[in-house]
Amino acid sequence: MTLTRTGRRAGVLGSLVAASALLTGCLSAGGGDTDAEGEVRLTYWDHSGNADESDTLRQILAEFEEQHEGVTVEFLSLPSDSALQKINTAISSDSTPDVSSISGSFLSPFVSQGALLDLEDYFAESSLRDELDPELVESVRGDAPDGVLHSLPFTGTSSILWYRSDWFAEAGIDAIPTWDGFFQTVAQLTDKSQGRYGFTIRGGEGSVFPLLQYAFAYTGIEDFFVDGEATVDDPAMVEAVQRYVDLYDVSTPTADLNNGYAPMVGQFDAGDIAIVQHNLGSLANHEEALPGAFAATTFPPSATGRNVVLSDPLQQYVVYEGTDHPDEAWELVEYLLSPEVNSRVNEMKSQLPTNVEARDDEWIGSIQALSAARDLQSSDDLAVVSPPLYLPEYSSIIRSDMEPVFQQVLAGQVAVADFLGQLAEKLEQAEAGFRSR
Amino acid sequence: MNALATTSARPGAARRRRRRGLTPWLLLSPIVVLISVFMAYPIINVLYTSFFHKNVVMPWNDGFAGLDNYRRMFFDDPTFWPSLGVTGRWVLVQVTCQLVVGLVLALIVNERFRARGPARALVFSPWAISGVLTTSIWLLLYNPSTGIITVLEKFGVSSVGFAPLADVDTAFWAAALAELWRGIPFFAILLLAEVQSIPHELYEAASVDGASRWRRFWHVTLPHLRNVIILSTLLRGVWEFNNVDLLYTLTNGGPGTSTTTLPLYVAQVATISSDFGYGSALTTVAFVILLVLSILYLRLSRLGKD
Repeated sequence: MTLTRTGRRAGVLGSLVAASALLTGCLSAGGGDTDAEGEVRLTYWDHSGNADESDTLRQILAEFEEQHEGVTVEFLSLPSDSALQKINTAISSDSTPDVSSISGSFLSPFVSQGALLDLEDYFAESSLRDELDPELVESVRGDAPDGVLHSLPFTGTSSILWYRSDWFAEAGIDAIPTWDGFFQTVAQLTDKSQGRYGFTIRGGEGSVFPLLQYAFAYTGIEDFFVDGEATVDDPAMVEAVQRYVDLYDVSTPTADLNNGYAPMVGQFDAGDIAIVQHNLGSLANHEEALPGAFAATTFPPSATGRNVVLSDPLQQYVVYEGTDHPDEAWELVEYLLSPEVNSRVNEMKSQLPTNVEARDDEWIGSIQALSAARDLQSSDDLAVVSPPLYLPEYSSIIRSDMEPVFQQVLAGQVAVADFLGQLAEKLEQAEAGFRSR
Repeated sequence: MNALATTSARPGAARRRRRRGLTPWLLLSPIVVLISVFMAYPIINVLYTSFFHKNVVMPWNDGFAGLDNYRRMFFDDPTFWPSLGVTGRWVLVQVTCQLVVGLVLALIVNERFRARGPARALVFSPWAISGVLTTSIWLLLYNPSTGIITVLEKFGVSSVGFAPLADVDTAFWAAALAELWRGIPFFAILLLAEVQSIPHELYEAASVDGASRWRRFWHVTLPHLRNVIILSTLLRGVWEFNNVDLLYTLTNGGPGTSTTTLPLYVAQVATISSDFGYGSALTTVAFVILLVLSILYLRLSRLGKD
């Protein structure tokens, strides 16, 4: 059997069409769309990748659809550890969603790429202007490299100390009033022969930021930069970090060197650890594993007597520049940040709502850790230090550059002063580059 | 009349010849298109990008870099040379140990004995397990609270709470053992297939000549396996050079950079730093190293020549 010329041409054309469809199918835009009947289709991506939370979010989005006739929302949950990479890929290929949640550390890279919509005008005319915590709104505005409001925060969190209340009671320890008391308690509750450790250090993925949170809280230093010089290598910081590092393999498990979030929290929940430093987000894990046997306390006051908090990157909602329906996308953000929905989202995440009208909800008072964090945030003796999230290199410095060096510090291969010196130098270079632009 | 027929037949014959000439190319064209799209284009694109500053989080710095990325790699990057050293050590340890143990196991399961079937299944089973699942298994084994360390502690062989993956001196070897477990079946399967193709008469003749078991292995089995050993070690060497999944999930390159291989470093540069220009330069160098070493290896080993 032979093919005619027309048949061959048709075959070649068909193959090309099929190949094109195959290739471009992978690159189709994920942004909003309008179908033939005029219905608006929005896409919403959640960056946290939590299956339990996805069910609640789907329910919330379905309720939004019911209240907004003609608008449908397609939901996609991204794995948390690769959400940044996936959204970056979407930005590069012009296939962003209309709206997504992001971590605070994503904001600067996205703004730098011109991927996010300017929300200033929308926000100025919205009731959210009077409802959202003004300090948190100002904080996310400052985190954007151009100083423009591109995002709105939906959770407030705080780094705290989770501890085994039953071990504390057995040992006759009431609280951790000072940092000296913290170190004494850690030593007192360590019993290696019983597989009990006073503390667990996050030595692997995500190790440097919690270390800095501890160091700022310990020293009471209230600025990240002073005249362009990073404060992280201040002698007081070196002393604080040295004290922390000295706990490793003495009052902590040896395996802490590789600890990321999950193993660290897992060790505490397995019943091997007396105290762990983490934010409010791990509450659900502790409640499930250690019901009635744990509690939370905020960091002790610093050497200056003030409480100093290096603020956690806030989780935020953003609208992408590539959306075909900016008004409907904004309506979705407004809905998600309304007092009732913001309260539900934060109850699900065990975090503090950013809508102040939701902060008096009953469920917050019933959770000891949340009410402790809320009380600290309303304290007059609190100084909040903002990490330089506006630096596009910030995540790269904190993670890929410095995490391996911190492991070398724990392993005794690099001195604490050298580690902090390197970190300060990189941050100062990034800051100088940012200022010169 | 004959002349007319010949003249009118010529265009048809020419068309048939042309068609016959084009047919092989048409048949080859799908694979040529696939290779161009999925191999040639990415390689050329990576090479091209390696001469540019391209970082998605700092687009204002993007532009032609010349040899800047290569200068940074060879002279300013504290991780590049150590990662290359770790890669070399990793490939050497893996290929050598996997070959030796795989060969021994192939010879054992080639013998006739009871339960040979289950024994073969046992030897080959790690090959069916994914890299991430291998990581989970070995993380549990190395866990100081639940793993084999607890048993070793009871016998006094290990100190309390010892974590092999958290120790700079042992992390490489702990990871190497996990990969060894996964990689041995590759050699065992290939070598067993080849061993089974050796004519039995050769062994009989050697036995008649009084050759011992060792001499039969040395003078009959090994020469017969020569080509498959050369090819499989080359394939495995390239594979192990590019290994990312197990190390990424088991140690993520740590402690420090003690298990950071070059491909793992490239992955970190690309995924965390989003520095695709520099990542492309690192990838290009890795590609050139593999290409040169592969050509040299094939030349020196004289593959296919007696």
